[in-house]
Amino acid sequence: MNFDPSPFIKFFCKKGVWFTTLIVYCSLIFIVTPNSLSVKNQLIFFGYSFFIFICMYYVLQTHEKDVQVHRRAEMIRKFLIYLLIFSFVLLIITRLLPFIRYGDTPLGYDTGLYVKNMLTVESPVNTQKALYLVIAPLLIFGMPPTLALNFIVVLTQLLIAGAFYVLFRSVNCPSRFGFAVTAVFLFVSSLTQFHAYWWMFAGQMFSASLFLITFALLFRRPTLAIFTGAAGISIHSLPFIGFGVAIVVFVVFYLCKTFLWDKVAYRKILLFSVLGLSILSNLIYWNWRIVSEILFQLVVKLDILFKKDISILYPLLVAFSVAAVLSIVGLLVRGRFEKKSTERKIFNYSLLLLGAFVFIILLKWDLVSDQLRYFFRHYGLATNYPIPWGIPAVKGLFIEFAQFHNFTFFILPFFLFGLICPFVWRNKQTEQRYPHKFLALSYIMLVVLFVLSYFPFIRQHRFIIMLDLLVIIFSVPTIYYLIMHFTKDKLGKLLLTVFIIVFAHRIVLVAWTQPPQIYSDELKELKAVAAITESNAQIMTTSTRYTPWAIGYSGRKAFGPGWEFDQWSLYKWIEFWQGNGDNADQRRLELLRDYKEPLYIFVGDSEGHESPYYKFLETNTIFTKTSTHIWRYESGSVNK
Amino acid sequence: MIRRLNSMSKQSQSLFISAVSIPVLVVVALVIPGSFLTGVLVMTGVVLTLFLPGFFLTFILFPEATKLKELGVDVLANKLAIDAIEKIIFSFFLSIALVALCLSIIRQFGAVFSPEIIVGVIIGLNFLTMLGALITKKMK
Repeated sequence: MNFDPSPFIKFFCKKGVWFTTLIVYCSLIFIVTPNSLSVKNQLIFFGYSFFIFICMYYVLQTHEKDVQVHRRAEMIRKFLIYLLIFSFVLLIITRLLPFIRYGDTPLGYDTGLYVKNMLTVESPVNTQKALYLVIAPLLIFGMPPTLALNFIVVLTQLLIAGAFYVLFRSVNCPSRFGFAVTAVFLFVSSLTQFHAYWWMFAGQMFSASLFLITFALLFRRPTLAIFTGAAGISIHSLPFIGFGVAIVVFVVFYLCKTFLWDKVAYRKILLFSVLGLSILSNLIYWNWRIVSEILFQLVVKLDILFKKDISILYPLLVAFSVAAVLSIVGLLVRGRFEKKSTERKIFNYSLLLLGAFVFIILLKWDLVSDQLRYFFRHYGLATNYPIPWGIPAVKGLFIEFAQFHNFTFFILPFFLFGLICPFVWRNKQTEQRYPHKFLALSYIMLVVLFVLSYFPFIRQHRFIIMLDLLVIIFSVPTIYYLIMHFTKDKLGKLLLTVFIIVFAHRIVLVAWTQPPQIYSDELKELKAVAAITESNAQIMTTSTRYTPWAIGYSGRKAFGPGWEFDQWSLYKWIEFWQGNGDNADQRRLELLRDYKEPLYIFVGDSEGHESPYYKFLETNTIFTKTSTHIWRYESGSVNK
Repeated sequence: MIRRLNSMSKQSQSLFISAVSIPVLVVVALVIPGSFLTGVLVMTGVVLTLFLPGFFLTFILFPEATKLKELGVDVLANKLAIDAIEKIIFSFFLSIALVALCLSIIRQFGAVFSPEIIVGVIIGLNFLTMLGALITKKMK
């Protein structure tokens, strides 16, 4: 019997793209399945992922032929509006639950530090940090510092959800409203984002929202994006690192593309622009002394004019000079570029880069240069940090990558499908079918953020928050198509409701069970410290968990392991924490002599009552218990 | 609901936003510790700092969708115009960017802030953006 392979070949050729996609998808699913799972659970995860793939295959195959889609448009829209309202309510509930359960300070590790910094904003000696400049007016209008901080943190959550909405409304995707609502829902139900909120990373979250809106404005008003971008960078630069790299790569790629393939005229313009800029920069570089002398003279003259020292304006003048030169070059080049959209893109993105650069020089150059120096001193790796026990802090205190992996477990198949199937972004109704710019920037950002959050780079764990935002972006189209398909019939609607309830249940459960890092009675004791202790008293916390709270609320000089004013090395702390045996308590007393008195020691509930140092504090007569968690150390009583 | 909001005129949209936001502000003012007056003052501060400057800026920066559609530039209308939800979101973001940048730049000039200076800057920003919005409206 002769075997005719042609039907199979035809079938494979016809479905070739899907088979390739399936193979890549299965390989990726295999890679992302955690080894810690049992075989049974691994198989369940494979089944779940495969089910999603089959669903998507069916949905995308039938979507084009589905004549009912237009008829159902109104029903889908109504469903999406309900989903948007539900997401908003869910956001409010999950973000306010910790306050309802644990009082006014259920969030954070950093809360104390923020409060401490905010208290200095009100005084004339104020800060350079932009975040506090936004909060300062609220304090002046009478808002208490803790309330102002909580208000800003809750607001950041609403702003990120809003920024997601605007982002997808700005991108040329199959359904702007549908994608926007799905993104908002995914953000609200993201466990990683909730944990970032719970850790109270006010600055980073604020800046992350500005990053998303800058990303959105890039497709609507690139010039306006400079301002939101600059404000975001001045509040916290970390969320913009992936974005900055993506824009640089994108601009370089387009410049190369234009230079190599496009018309001769554009090539000439680019060539002359590059030459002009290089000559100009060379001139400035080699004649820097002359240029700086001119600037110096200008500053001196302005000094005389204003009758006071205004040398602080020096970097400002440099920035304005650079901006003026670049603006002239930009304006000259722009006239040539306006005719063609690709070149306009280059212009827009270059403008964004230059604008951000000028703003950085203008506002934060000293801070940015410090960070860069710090970054290059350790080759960017947290593991090169000279003090081993400082490494976790250098990595950024947040969840580990493995935990992030667990948090995104349910969403991973959707994310991977969106990642490997860019055709889910195809919009057939417009001339330009794919959101090229958006996709290119998102893919580059994803790679950069994955590298920065997977390998032990400085602030590794903080990059996870940004990576999660990208995971949401790539999961959106897959989930949107499923929503659209399942609203067809009753069974589909039921499945969809179950899906939404499962996601909502997870986040509500986490919000309900997440304990605060400090309980209200512990915080009350810290707040009372200022009233019951001497003005020169020092507060020592035996766990870093409580150090920021002690710094923020005790009103006294406070420190903890590895913090400023700490006199002990890690070895000495280990002796204090774990020392056991006959002379252990004697050694503890010797160690405590390193600190000036009066000294108060705070031990929180989470440290446990079984630890040797807790027993030491409880039993030794040298300590006087001033409250449930605080002991006063008096070395004088030894001599007595 | 959103479609209905989008079809409203600019004035109606502003009215709608005010109608929704004012009761919310009053409720929040009641929640804030201290007297009701303190609450009102705090909420005024929040609105003046985090919402109003950006709200006025949206009138200057984003054209009305209906006017663009009247002019026959539907593509531009889709790209540039914003709906009511986006207007609220942009109001917050633009206010934050404006306040943060203005205060940072003034600080860079060596100014030592006192509460009076900060309040002055905030009120000035509100006044200038409102003026800009009014001029833009007249020019249209």
